Amino acid sequence: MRKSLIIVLSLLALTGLRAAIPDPPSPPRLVNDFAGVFSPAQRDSLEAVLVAFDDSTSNQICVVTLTTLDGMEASDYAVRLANHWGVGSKKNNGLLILFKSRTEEESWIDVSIQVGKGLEGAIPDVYASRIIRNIMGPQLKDGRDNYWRASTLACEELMKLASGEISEPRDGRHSEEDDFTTDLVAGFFTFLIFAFVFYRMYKSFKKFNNRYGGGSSGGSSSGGWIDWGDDDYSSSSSSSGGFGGFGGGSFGGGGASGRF
Amino acid sequence: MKKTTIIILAIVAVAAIWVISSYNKLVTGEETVNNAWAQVETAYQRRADLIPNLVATVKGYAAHESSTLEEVVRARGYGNNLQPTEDNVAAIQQQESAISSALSRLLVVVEAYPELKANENFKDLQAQLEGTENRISVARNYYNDAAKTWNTQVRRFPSNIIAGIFGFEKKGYFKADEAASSAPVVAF
Repeated sequence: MRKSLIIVLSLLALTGLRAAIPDPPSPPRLVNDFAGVFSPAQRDSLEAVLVAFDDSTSNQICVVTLTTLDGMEASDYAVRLANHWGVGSKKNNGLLILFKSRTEEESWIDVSIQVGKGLEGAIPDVYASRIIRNIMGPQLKDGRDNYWRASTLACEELMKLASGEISEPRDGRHSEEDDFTTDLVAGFFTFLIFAFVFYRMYKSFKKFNNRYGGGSSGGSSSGGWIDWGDDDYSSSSSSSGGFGGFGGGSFGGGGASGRF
Repeated sequence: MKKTTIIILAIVAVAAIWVISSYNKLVTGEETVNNAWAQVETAYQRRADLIPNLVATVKGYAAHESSTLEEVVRARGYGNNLQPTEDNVAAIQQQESAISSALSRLLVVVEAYPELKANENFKDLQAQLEGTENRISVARNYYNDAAKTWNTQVRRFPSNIIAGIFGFEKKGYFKADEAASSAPVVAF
């Protein structure tokens, strides 16, 4: 009797551990501040920039903050979460930045950057580690705890690196079938879709440009090529079209982690 | 007379179709496992390739541990394209966990040298090593899942008949071990 109770309890504990990885948010979002370390305005402006990056290059950067990793290591937790959510498209071009915030029980910050399989060439582990050490670290160390600055600076760097590898607009996919007639039909529709997408992109680019102060789209390599807005940023992010959802990208454990 | 011939032919045709489709399913399944296995091999190879760099950097600080590590890496005496049978997986796991524990002993010794820990080169190496350990654990989990699906397929009736006829075998599992799963946490 007691034995069976123990078995039942340990099974419950096991399923509890499994359930520790949260399910993807619905509706899908790229910025998931479960720990509540961003202000709503910060969250929305980060979301808007990451959605625009996803739309223009198809690379997805997902930012997640948590208060606990349920006893798992940051990298382990992050890779499970990234695979579970499927950050990135089928090109496996997803990136995940995970924070475990400083809490009373665990007085340190864990950071992990996970790099999707398709971006491992553009962002080797060493680069990810340097971003954590040299860019995010100074914002988080010694009780500074500036998650927002750490996130935006890291995203800026990751966007530069990732767009060098995969940079094509969403929906601009080529058909891979050999059949001539399907190619023909697909070609026609692709043309229509392309025309439509480019028209939309042009329009939303103009909108984006207006909102963010007309920086060039090419991504000049000088610092601060993105205006992240600040705390009094107040326009709604829904006008930029919103995030279309994760695309089933997979992660093989590339990336880096650190603790501050 | 003619009717029975037709019936027999029909049965034979159905049986043939069934054999072919089961066989093809098994082939697909085995390819999935082999692919997962190749990822495990790649991840281990990546670590083995990284170790000489690490040793070159830390030799001056931890001579004994470095040479131990070099020895276990050299003893890593299997080539690629090894089939993941139960024996092979167990043997590889044993060799690799010897490397893991030599590696963690080395890193523990190195902890005592702040000037080495502050060295950017060493930090980069550590980052690569950490990423490699993560890749190993991801690849192993993926392989174990694939092997589980495969083993179920091979053992279940009726596909086990086809598996028996064509000599498809069970694949080995990686068992959880402490050394490989505990990648060092890098604190700055």
